[in-house]
Amino acid sequence: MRFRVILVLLAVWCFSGVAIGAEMNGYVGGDVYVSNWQMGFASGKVVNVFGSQFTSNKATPNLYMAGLSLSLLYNKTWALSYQGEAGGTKTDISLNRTSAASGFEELKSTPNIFRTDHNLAISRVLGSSGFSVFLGGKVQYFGYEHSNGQYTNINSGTTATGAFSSKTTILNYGPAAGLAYMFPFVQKSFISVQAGIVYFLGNYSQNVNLLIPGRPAPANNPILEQVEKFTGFGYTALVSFIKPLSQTLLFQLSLRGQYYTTKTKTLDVTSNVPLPTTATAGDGAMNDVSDLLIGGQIAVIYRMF
Amino acid sequence: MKKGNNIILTAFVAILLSGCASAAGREAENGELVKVATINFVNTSGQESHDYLGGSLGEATVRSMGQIFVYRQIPAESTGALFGKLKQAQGTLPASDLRSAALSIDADLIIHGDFKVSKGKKGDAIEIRMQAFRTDRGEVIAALSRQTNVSNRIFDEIDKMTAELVQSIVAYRKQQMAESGQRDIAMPKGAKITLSRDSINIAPFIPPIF
Repeated sequence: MRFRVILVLLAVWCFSGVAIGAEMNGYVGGDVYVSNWQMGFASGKVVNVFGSQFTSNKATPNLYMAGLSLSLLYNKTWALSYQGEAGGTKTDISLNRTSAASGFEELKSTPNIFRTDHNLAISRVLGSSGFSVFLGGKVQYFGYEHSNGQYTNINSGTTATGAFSSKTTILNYGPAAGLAYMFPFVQKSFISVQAGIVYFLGNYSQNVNLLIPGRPAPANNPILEQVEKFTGFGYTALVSFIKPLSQTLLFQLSLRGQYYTTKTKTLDVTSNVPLPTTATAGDGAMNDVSDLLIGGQIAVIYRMF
Repeated sequence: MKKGNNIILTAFVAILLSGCASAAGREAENGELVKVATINFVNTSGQESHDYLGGSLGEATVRSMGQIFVYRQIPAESTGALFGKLKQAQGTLPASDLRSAALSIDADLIIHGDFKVSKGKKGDAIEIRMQAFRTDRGEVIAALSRQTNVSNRIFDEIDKMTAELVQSIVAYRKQQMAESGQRDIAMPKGAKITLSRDSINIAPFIPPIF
């Protein structure tokens, strides 16, 4: 559905351009982005899992992403741009119980993490000032696949270990706006500085499935589903060095940053086993956490027409 | 079914995009030729009897450009509104306004100017200013001002001035090409220079990332 909306937008854009005989330029680009990611999820805060309070480690993996961009520039003034990236990483995530009660002491895994970001923007060059403004929308998706989790369980003084699997997904979407400034630099190169703000709505979903041999059903296979709805607000920044390699090929080297905080609005838990306490929005995995991404990007942009 | 619809829609957009590409290139043979708008010069002295000089200056500029360059001339009927704006502003517009006006007529380069006629000891004196404005960077790339008398040799003077302005554009182009590492193709003596967009180095565009 979203894909079709994008195609229709492109069609309308082209029609309007052709209809009035305006100049249209088309650009396609590819990039590689490596960053250090201080995850909002697993950021060291206390969360409620299976009715007990746990604190997570602070996971800060390096994230590897690759992407593409497509832009249509209208009369050198208005531009419609799409930029999408996808990539992944792997990192240790552990939850350690903070309360003294018996039960699960530790949940530990090294999930495969998939992340994809998509931006659609309309930008406008402000005269010959070098400034431009942009307005757009952003969609982010994160998938955490914990297929090899290990738990430690203390029950009546006996410590046991076992396996669990878990899948966590996070989806954010919302509007963004920003300002960019480009100016000529040495040797026919350019510097571009961009700053933006983003607001989004998000859905967090976690499904944990444990196997505890030797117990009667359903206690031998506790299953927990936790769903959160949250909002987020953040900032983005980019500083680029741009060097035209030819009249149609641009090289771009950038430093990029993205920071946002989220707040859980609603939290729903379903479980097939009784839980010691009921989780509230304040215990949510996405409540009052910050996500920070700082890294470097190399891109090549080709002017098709 | 949905997938089929998406494929058809994608193909449709691809055709439109190719249409955009050919619209940008317009005439295939002209491809990336620089589009130049030459605006009639503004008479800032308020004496309508000298308005004819504005047209003569514009025509002489087109003639001088045509003798040196191969480029794409924007038709005079498309430049009327810009002339009106310049006239209202007594020949001088801020760079941002000039750039916006140039973009609205799809001009890469604008050549314009103004003149003022005043009474002198040896008849009417005329002060002429002219400049070439590069749209994508919003900057003046060549400028000239001259004082002379309005005599029967005025048209020769105008031809000399416009030729000088065109030579300034030639020098600018040469400098731009040298800075971007481009070299001119060896051409027979007297052959015209193709004023292509490549030779004036178009400013880049990068998509916003957030």
